[in-house]
Parts: sequence; structure tokens; C-alpha cells
Amino acid sequence: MAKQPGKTQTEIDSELLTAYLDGELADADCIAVEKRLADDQSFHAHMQELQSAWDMLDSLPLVQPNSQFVQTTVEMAIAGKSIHKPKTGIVLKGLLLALIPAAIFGISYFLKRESIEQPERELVYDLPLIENHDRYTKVVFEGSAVKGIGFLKSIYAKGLFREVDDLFAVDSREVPLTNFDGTSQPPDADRIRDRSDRLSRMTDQQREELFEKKRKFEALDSKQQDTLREFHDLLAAEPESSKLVEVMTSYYDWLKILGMNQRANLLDLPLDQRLKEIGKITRQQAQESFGAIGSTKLPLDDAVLFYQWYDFSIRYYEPEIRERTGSVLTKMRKGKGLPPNEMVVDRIKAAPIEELVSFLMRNDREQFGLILCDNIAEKNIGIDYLREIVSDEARSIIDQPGISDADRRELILKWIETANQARFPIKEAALHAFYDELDEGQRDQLDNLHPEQWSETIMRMYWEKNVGQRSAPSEVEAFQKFLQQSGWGTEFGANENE
Amino acid sequence: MPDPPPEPKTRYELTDPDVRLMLRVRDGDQPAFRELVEKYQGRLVGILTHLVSDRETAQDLAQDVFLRVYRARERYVPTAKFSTWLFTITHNVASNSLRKSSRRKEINLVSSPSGSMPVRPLEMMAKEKSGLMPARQLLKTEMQNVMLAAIEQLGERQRIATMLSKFEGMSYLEIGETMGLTTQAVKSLLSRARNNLKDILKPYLESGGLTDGVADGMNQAPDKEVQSD
Repeated sequence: MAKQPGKTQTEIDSELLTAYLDGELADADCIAVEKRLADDQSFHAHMQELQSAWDMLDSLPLVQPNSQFVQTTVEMAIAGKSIHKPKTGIVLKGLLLALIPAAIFGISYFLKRESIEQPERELVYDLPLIENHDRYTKVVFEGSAVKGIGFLKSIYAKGLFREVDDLFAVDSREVPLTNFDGTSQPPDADRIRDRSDRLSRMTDQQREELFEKKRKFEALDSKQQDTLREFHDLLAAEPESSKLVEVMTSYYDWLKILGMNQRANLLDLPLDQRLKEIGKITRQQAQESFGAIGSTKLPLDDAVLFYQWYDFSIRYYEPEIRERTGSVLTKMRKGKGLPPNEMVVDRIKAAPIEELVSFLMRNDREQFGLILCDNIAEKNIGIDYLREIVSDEARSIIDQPGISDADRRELILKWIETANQARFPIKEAALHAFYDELDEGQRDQLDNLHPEQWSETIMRMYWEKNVGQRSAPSEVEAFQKFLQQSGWGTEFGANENE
Repeated sequence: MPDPPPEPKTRYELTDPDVRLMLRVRDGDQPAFRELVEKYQGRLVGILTHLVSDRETAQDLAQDVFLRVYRARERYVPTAKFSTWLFTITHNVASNSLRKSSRRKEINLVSSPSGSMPVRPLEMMAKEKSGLMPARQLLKTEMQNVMLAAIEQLGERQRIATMLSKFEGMSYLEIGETMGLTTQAVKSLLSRARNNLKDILKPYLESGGLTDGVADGMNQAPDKEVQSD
């Protein structure tokens, strides 16, 4: 019964008594405790209190599962097994038995369920897995589902491929935190119904794509299938699964725009190197994309300078940005009739800075523009600094005739949006929606392109539309020169090496 | 060529009949799986109900546990008592569920500040009790409500450790294996759990008191369905 560091005597006594009451003490310690119990009245009283509270647990109600529990569980387990070894009879029997609980949802549902064709029945069971397995294969590492989850979390933690709407969704508390479709276990009646409905609403093309995915999944060996299944379960069980799923989807879409060799090389790298390489490629892409934004014509060199100015400003004004986010958020919550909640606000204030920037860009645009652009700090790092580092032509855009301060700030904010959009690739769904808005001629032009050019072109068109019409030439030396003159070379140097 | 010698039986295979059942499940014996489900269903649903405070959810989770066991059957290697393995899975499943539900609860509280709490605070129940029932005798159902509220106030890990210790009769070593903790950590965890229970129940006990009859009732051994094997 040696003294334990960092614990009060009361805590030590409590642990001792608990272990005594639980029969976990060695004989010698037991004798010592009993001797002390006999001698020390308060020690004895403490023991009685602990035991009384513990004994009261016996009054907790006895809960029994329903009478169908064993039958349903066993049938579901067996049906789950048969899904991957298609023995029609067992699958059908398992499905029907698993549907017993569904009776409570009414005969109409049961009839609808019966109308589903056999291949679709298998599809319904494994729908989330079949829909996503191609994505999973790109993140599962060395055949390990656990490592795959770790990789996904690392990507998320680094802010790569992260959706900027994360922030508001957390605060609004109205959006379900996870809409990821369950696990790969045999689905319950609710899920079967939802999935059947979803299948019935699919177009022929979507349905065909899904069956193609199913065929690919079935072509995997059983070990690979098990790994993907395990990955799916782990992902579904993650508290932040919906965010990880979004990150994974963005990553998967992003991989598709890489060249074949680049993609293959990337996927061969071990975890750390792969993460570094992803960071490097996305940064290059962002710079290139920004420089090539159609009629914006801000060339690569100026775009690079703009990025550096932006990165530095964000870092410099980080405390102001976090503070401002907190006050805007509090105000918005008040406006929505939500009570003050410092914990929520603090958590959001602690989010990655890029998310806070996006939040302020949407909800406090004017003030955020003032923070970034005004030359209010001791060091002149606002818009004057940007003027200094970019080329004359870029400067002529910033100071184009007749532009007001507010318009200038808006121009900078649009450039920032472009930068962010380039860093966080546009969601595939957004591109598809954009494609739907195009006129027939534009679509024809696009559709005649090679797939890789197709992506590149539509993204450029998307940015053009969303960023506006600007143009500028370049002069990269101005930046280095300015750094040397300003004495900030070291800070920017560090940034460049990141 | 002579047959290869049979693999030596592990300690657990020799001493734990449920391990032997699970090995039969591994070899494709479906009735053995049914036997395991029948044997553990009550204990699992009972404990899970007290962990997640909802019977329907507990049943779903228990089913989830059994399905995971079945899916893992081909890879099963007896490295612990079957119940330890089963409750390790249960712990993981329950923890995930509690994390999700705690987030949902937070949402509800934020979006509906005047909404009712799932369980009334014990202080409130104690006040009501002392005012409404002069005899201060606790009926069984009231006692159950008090204890459900008390259990809900324990932290997740304390709650799980308490359930495993109290109703599964697990040793500190087994709880440690189940929850991935050292024996010393289990000791501290259970000590804090006992202390917290004592403190949580204090206002109720002070205002309500316990008659001898009720106290005797509470000291009865737990029902065999819930108790450990």
C-alpha cells in the first residue's frame, strides 16, 4: 500500500476501499484494511457509503430482449454471410426473415419489397459498400482498413480536400451530423425501405453504373472485400464520419484529374510521403489554376505573390480573424434565437483558419475585407503591401481608374475565393450542376474534349463565372526585392519551404 | 505421409466452454452461434440498456455486437475468455453509440433550450419525494428511476466499468482487457465511479432515507439473468 504520487489521501483511501470491496486486494493488504476499518471510524463510514451506493445498483431494472431477438439475430447473421456467396435460396430466405420486423411498417412496404428483382435485392443489402468501394480502395493502406481510416483523418487534419461548409453545419446544429448510410451489416427494415426507394428513383444510367460497381466489387477476392467491409464499418462508426466521407470523395475526385503515372506514383508512396506529395501537388495545382483563370489572366508569378501575401496576412491577422469569427457567430446565434454557448463558439474559433476565412467571407464579408486590406497594423501589410509586391500590371488592376475602396476590397476577396477554390477543389456535384447550366453549344464544345481536358476546361469556366473578369501580367522579382527591403524575407522564406 | 499433429489447445479453449462454442461457430456450426446468442442476449441487452439508456437502441446494439462476432468468426483466435472478447466488442459498439448520441443530445439542448431533459436531476426528484411522500418509502420503480438517473450521470467509461464489474463480475484484469486499460487504471476508474455514485445519490438518500425493508430489498443478489456466469 505504497503512497501513490499525485493522489490525495482521500483518493488513495477510496481506491483501497474499492479494491477491498471488489476482492482485488492481496491478503496482506486485506488484513491491513480490515485492521484500519476496526480502528478508524471515518474510514469505516467511508467504506459503508461506498458499499451502499454500489448495492443500490442492484435495484436497476432487469431488461430482457424481445422474444424474436435470437431468431432475428441468427437469421440476419446467416443472411449476411450468404450475401457474398450467392446461394439464391438462402439469400431469399434470409432476406424474408430479416424482413419480419418490417411488418410493423405495413403490408404495403412488404409488397413493395417483394417487387424488387433478385440482383437488386443483393444490391439493397450492400448498397453503401457497393456505392463507395472504389473510393475505399484509394484510401485503404497496405490492405489495412485501420490504416485507411488513419490516412483519411490525416488528410482531414491537414485541411486538404476539406469542405468549407463544415463550419456552419456544425454551428447550425440542424443538419444531421452524419448522413453516411449505415454500416455494411445486414440492414434493418428502415434502411431496406430507404435503399429500395432510392434504387427505384434511379435513372437507367445510374442503375447501370451501380451494377457495374457491383460487378467490380464482386470481382475482388474475399480478403479485399472483407477489408473494404471493415473499412466501411470503421468509417461509419467514426464520430466525424460525414466529414471524412466528404474528404474521401473530394480526394477520390481529385485523384481522377491526375495523370496516370502521377496517380500511380502517388498511390505507391507510404503514408507520410503521400501526404507530403498531396500537399505539394495541390499547392502547385492551386498556383497554376489561379494563374490560368481565363480572362482574369493573373499570371503564375503574380498569382504566386498573391498567395504569399494572402497566406502571410491570414497568419498575421489570425487572432483578429478568430476573434471576429466568435463575435459574428455569437451575433448570428442570437439572431436565430439560440442561447449563448461559449463552448460551441470556442470550438469553432479553434477550427482551421481556412475555414474561419470562408465563414467570414460568407457572413461578414465587408469587415473581413477591411481586416485584410486596410493598412491598420504597425507594419504596413494591408493592400499597400500587395501593391508593392505585385507587378505594375497587376497593380493597375488593383488601382484601376474609378475603383472605390469597397470595390477594391471586393476584388481582393474574389481573388481569395479563387485561391481557396483552387486549393479546395470544386465538388464534382457543383461542376455537374454548372455543366447543366451551360448552353448546348458550350456543352458540345466540352464534350468533344479529352476527359482530362474536359475537367480542366470546365473548372476554368466555373472559376471564370464565379470569380469575374480581371486581367494582369506579372513580375516575380518585385516580390523578392520587396521582401529584402521590408525585412520579412525570413518569414516568407519559411512559408515557401513549407 | 502421417497426419500433422493437432494444434495444441489454448488455456481458454480448455477452461471456457463459450470459447469452445465460438470455435464451433468458426468451423461453420450455426446452432453453436444460436446457443451463444441465447446465452448472452439477456446480459448484453441488460448492460447496453443501462449504458445507452434506451431499450430499443440497446437491442439494436446487441444485435450489432452479435453480427460482428459472426462476421469475425473465421478470424477468431481464443486469446481471452469469450465473454471478455464479447464485451470488448460491446464496449466499442456502445462507446461509438454514446459518442453519437451525446452529440445529438448537445444539438437538442442547443436548439431547444427549454426542451425536457431525458432524466430529471436527482435533486429535483429528491425534493419531490420528500414533499409528496411523508413516509419516505421508496417504491421499487421509483428506486429504479433514481438509479437510472444516477447511472446516466456517470461518465461513459465509469459507466461501462461499473456495469462490467457489477453485473458481469469481471476482475480488474478482465475489465482492463475489455476496455484497453491497465489494472491500476481500472482500479482508479471504479473507485471514482463508486465515489461519484455515492455523491450523486447523497441528496436523494439524505432527503428520502431508506427504510430497512427497502434497504434489504436492495441488498438482494442481482437477478441471475443479469449476473455473471
